[in-house]
Amino acid sequence: MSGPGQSAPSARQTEALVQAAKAAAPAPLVASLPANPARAPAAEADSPSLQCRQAIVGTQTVFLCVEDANPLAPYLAAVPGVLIAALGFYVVHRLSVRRQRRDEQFKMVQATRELVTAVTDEAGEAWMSKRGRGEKAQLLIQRVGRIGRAAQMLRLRDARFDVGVQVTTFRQAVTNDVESGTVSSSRRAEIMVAGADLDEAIYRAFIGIYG
Amino acid sequence: MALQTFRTRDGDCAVKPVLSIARNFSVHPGPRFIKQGPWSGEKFRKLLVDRLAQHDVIVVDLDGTRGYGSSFLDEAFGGLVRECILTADEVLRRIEIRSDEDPTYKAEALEAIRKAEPKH
Repeated sequence: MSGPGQSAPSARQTEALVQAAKAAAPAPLVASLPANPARAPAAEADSPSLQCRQAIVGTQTVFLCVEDANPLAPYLAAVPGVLIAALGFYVVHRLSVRRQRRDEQFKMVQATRELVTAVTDEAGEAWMSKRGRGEKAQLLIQRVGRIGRAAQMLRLRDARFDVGVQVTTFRQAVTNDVESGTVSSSRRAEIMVAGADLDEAIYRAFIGIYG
Repeated sequence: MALQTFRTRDGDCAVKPVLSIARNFSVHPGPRFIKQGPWSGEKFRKLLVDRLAQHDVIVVDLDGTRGYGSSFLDEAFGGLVRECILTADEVLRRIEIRSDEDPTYKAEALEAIRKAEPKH
């Protein structure tokens, strides 16, 4: 704590200086003794929170330095840990939500694909037989309607789920003039192709979104 | 037939009549022609023509039914052009199709109108 060119103060003088510095400092200030007293003025210039005063004790010139202690310092140390924990919680939450959405979407996709398969088979049979065509036609129209609504529900959940073209093609193949009673093997083949296309489009849309 | 209030481009309020197939026709739309069964596209087209005689613009609401066959949609909307009741442009101007539950019905009806050619 002595100035350049001066001999070091005795232990009793140092203790007295520290007590004087504590008494002189405002409440939040803590007295500190620089490791190298010769650098005290330089340290004052470097750190705005470090305030030094020059004093003469006996024949010695000393610098009394006090550092302004930040009251948030103990909490600031915990900030990185809290941020990492919050980020971890957010990531886990997002992954959980995504998994839940994927599961719900998967169930809807499975149900829709099963319906497509069932309607494809029924429509194929219906187009190969005149018997009871009127009742079958109405049932097929309703079931194709359910496929269209299910596809729209999937699209509302995710706009990338766009299979509207395939739904329209499938509906036209299944229901267009089904009530006419015409037996057509070529129509049956058309229904099989349109059903397979729709099934594949639904599957590919799901895989494209969720991998 | 219900009425729907809407705002025009000029900012004025106006009213459009809404023809709901589920409420004003049937929740089970049927085949193409009347002779093929009840609630056919041909029968609906006649109802539509009747309403078009009373109103310049009509909203046709396709929601609320169990589903439509392609032949019903083709006969109901494309039939207007085929039977020389209206031109395709007039149909597109005077009929506003709404189908929120399954937009593919609207797309199919519009396609039927555009592709239809008048009978000679």
